[in-house]
Amino acid sequence: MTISGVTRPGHAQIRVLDLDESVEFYRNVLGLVETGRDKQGRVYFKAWDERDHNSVVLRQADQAGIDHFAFKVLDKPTLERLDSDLRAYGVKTERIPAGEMLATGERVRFEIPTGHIIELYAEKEQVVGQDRLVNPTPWTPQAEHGIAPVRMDHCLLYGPDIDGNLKLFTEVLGFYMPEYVENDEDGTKIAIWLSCSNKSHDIAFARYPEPGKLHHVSYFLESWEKVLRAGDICSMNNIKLDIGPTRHGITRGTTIYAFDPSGNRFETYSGGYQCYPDWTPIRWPLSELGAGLDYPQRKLHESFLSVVT
Amino acid sequence: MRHFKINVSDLDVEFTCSEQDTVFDGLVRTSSGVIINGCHGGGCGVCKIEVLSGSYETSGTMSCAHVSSEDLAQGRVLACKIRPRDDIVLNVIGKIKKLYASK
Repeated sequence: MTISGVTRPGHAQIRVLDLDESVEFYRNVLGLVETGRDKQGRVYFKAWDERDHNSVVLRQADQAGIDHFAFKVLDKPTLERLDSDLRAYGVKTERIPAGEMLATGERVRFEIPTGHIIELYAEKEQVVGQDRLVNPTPWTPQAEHGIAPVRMDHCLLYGPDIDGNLKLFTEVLGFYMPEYVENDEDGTKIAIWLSCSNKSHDIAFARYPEPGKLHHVSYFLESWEKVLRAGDICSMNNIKLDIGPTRHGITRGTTIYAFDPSGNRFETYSGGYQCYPDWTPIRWPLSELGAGLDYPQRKLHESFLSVVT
Repeated sequence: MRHFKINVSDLDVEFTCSEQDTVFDGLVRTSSGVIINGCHGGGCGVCKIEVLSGSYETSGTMSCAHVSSEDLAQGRVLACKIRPRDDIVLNVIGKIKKLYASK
């Protein structure tokens, strides 16, 4: 087994201001598959090609943003080990019982230095049918419904102490840092991209005065052409774009940033590159952040820095 | 379709906005030379304004992280969630004000 420890992003629980309007957007514009609703009223979705029960959970609230971002770990012994490692490191953890979220096992919840809530879990029910496991078709009708990403891919979160996050994620959770943005003058890290796999990022953080902020949740598409198609679908549905279609210098992914009906930014993303933990991190001087964000235009869009939920 | 005059008093900007558009749509279209954008969803708060005069219709929920019920009652709202029903005079409170100031 070469993939161990924290294996991948599992789910994002997102706060929305109007549940019905949001469900309509996530189901028919973003094109996720609704998989359930719980007693609290939360609505669960997965991408068409994902196997686990959910990767996006919507909760009606009076303010937008993210409740928590969760990672799936290899198995239950790994969950126990990481919980104990977190405690030994000085992080207070809390156990959320199995079943609190639909189809999801016990979760270990903790707050990270930027003020975000992160959760780890080992078990989630697989809802993939036999038709996808034996002699499967390469895609399904759901792959054509709305933007229809193949998976929820990563998120970017904003908060003050990203140095503390870097230490926690690399020293305790087994992540490594493929790329970072550094202030040219004093060497302070302004943004960091962290991977627990060989994706160029599974989570990213940027320095920001207020804690606990969501910049975006990203959804993976299989081609640049599908990113352009996502832009068409947004425009056809009067969804406001923020940036793109363009290509990031950082991670080299092709991208569109846009907003869900509550103003939570989402990304439709393709490409990027595969990387390995032994690689030297790529450094972007802050003066080149414009190119890092929007390589063709080399433009530092103000909204990238200031619009968060 | 009716159109109304929107006067942004503290930025010395004036533009026309249709009854179907939000005041923020109008502001974004008018902001020549200034790249401004927000979430357009009532979530991020950068377009918070104070309406000094003129009537408007609220077109959706605004995050309570940025607009309290007292704000709502006092006309301190998010420009992306109101549509004009009259000529409006307003001041900008949110972060987009800083962008204008640096123009």
